[in-house]
Amino acid sequence: MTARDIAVTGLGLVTPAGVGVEESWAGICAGTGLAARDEALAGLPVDFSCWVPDFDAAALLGRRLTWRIDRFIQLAMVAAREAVADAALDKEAWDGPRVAVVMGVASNGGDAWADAYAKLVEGRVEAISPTTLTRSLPNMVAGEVSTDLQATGPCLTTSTACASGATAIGVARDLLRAGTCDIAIAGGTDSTRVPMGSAAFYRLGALSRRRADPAVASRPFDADRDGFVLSEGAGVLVLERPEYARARGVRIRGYLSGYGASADGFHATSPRPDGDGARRAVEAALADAGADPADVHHVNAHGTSTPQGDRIEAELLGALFRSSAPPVTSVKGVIGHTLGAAGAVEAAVTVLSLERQLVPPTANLDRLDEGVAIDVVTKEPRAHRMTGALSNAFGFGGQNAVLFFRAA
Amino acid sequence: MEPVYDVMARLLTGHFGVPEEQIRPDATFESLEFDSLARLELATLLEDDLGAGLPEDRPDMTLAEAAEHLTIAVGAEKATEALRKAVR
Repeated sequence: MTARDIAVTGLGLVTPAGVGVEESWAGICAGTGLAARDEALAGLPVDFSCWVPDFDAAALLGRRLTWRIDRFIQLAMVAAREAVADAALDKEAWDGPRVAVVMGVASNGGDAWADAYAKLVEGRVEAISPTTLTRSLPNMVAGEVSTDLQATGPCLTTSTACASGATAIGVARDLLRAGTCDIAIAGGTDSTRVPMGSAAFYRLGALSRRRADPAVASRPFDADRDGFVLSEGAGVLVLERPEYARARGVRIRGYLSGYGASADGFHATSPRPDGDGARRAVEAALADAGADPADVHHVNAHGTSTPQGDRIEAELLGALFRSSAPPVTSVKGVIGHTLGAAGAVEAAVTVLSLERQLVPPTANLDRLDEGVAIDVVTKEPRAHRMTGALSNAFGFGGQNAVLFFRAA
Repeated sequence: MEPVYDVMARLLTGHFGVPEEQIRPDATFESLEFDSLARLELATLLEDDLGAGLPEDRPDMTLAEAAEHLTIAVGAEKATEALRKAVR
């Protein structure tokens, strides 16, 4: 630990592998792709996805609440409650104005807009729900989580596409370092698993089209990958300054030591071919942590399963860590791409990996690209001694966020 | 009045998640913790199906008064039919 490290004291996960941290971890470690045909996407060119199974929002949150919030907010709220409970915090007892909420989201979920748009097209403007905006605006994730938990300090939403969750954690870390709050609830969420989400990503050419066998469609770093698999989920971390956590006597699960952000300044969707933007984010995270490449013992990669993105990331990791070759994984092979949640879900998994000294496998990786010299964990989890690990997140718009964690 | 009241009660439980035991003729929307957005949502659902809603400035209105208001506004038969459609 360094003087500037921030403690991670709570984790919350809601993923296609399960509702809850332990359920998600077990499913991710099982290493089997979870994509399947999705009734919600029936009739579309890409009609499969990954989704959170048996997510009964009404049972988990109560219908008094769920009718007024879209699914992406529901997922975040469940994950936030789990993280807060895990950190042994009690909203009845804490000093609310000293608790920040920072949530990343790539886009509003789309449920409310789909309902409203259907009525608009029918000419039934007066039938459009007055809650269309409050159910769906991206900022409402942080707003609703703040209200639910009575966390009334700084309340922010970050949106850096698929890096949103990681950016949120980095911004929350900065609030803690600045002394703006004592506790930060930070994470990301997304549920773009709606017809327009699939259709739009399909038209962009970003999605895997492996309809015949969805379970093997998400295959990060595999030579036969053809795009990502749309997914949903939420990940939340509770962060505190170490001295504050120690004074509370709470278990510290890991330390957030470094955060690096950069922009490619290159293209709306394509990463720079030379990986320069991503490399600068990794180097900034390490410099922030006072760490060297040799201190990186594991990389939880962005690895979305797109042909270009994975190749550029693999080349970058190969070049940066040439001598140490830390084991790399991408959980997206199992749970697909949770978009705005991905950076936070993977940050939580990285903390778990450090805590348990175990790297989950990358599903569906049979054959690496030729010439790629990285050590990707496949098939089953790998026990590995490690004290430092990177979690990468790269988004559309060339927006990059990288987090460096140390073991507690 | 009774059928309109019953079907409105099902809308309150089904759409808004109000616990059944809280739904009584003398319960006000205020006592059911209906904030301005919830009242607006209810009014929208009723307007869409009945062509008649509830007054927006009456959070103290009881459920019995609301049912009576709807019954008078659109006629008991139409109100019941439309509300049944709304909660299906």
